[in-house]
Amino acid sequence: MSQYQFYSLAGMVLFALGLHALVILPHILRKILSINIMAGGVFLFLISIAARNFEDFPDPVPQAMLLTGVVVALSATAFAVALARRIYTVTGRSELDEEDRVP
Amino acid sequence: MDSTTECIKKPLSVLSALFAAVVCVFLAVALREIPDEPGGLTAAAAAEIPRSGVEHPVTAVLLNFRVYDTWLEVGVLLMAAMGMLLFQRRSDLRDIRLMPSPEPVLHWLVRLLFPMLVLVSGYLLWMGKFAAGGAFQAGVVLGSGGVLLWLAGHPSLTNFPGRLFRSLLIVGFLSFLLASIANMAFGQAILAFPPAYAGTIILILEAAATLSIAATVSALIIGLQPVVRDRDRAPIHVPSD
Repeated sequence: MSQYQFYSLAGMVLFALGLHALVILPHILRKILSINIMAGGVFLFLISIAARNFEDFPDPVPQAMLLTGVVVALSATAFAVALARRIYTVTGRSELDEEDRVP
Repeated sequence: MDSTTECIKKPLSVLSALFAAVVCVFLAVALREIPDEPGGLTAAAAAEIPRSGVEHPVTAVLLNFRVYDTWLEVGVLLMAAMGMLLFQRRSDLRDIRLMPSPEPVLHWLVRLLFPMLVLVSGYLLWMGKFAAGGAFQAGVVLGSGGVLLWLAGHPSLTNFPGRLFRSLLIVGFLSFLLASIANMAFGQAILAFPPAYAGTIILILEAAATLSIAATVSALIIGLQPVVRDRDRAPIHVPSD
């Protein structure tokens, strides 16, 4: 197994862990964190694929996507936290589960 | 074991773990399909760099080859900032609650560090031409300077004019828009910069994007604070040296 495959695999494991956490954890903040962990996995995968056995310089396109992606992920997270706060102020709850659907 | 862990349903948890494991295995199998030799768009990027106006491949991709993508990502940042301001029912940062700052040392340190952050940010912006750097890195460093000011309870944040703050939020998106309109006015394709002027255009776009990213990042982090009414506002106190 070469180096980039090791890092890619680590990214995939992170993605799967985040996916599992996203499904089972009812608290909104934990869901936001899970999505961030999934994003971290995707970033790790992209950057390791860009840098596989390169000669002059690593593939700049995934790097550029990642660079903007990190900042966008940060902003999206902050926006999600703003939404979560709004949900808390309006409903007094911060968890998403079956009981929420009861009118 | 806390309350959140207790209320997880056991069957759902097992099912979801299985699903995640299957996804991971499929991804790992797909990884074997990726060719080992370097490929992608490295060669295409290398061939076009001399005409891009910058020397660093990542900056060339970001601000020239795929500038449309970057433009829309600056738009996403603007939308996130607008959404947050909408939810908080505010149009600027003039009514945020500043952290109380009992520590004169912290105050002094921030007054020392903030100008250095501005300097580092400017250097990162300039460095984008020939090394790893550019608008996003510079913008985040500058934005973290804004967060630092807030953490230290520096009153310059609440005195920042609202109109200027809103202008900073949109200047990045607007400059990309103006660049594309100007390009079309001169008979070029929408974001195909002429190689002779590409370097200058990219520097202007990057500087504008840096300001917008800095304003967005600091606003998104600081703006979540609750609103204070004027009479609750902590008295502004700047210790002299």
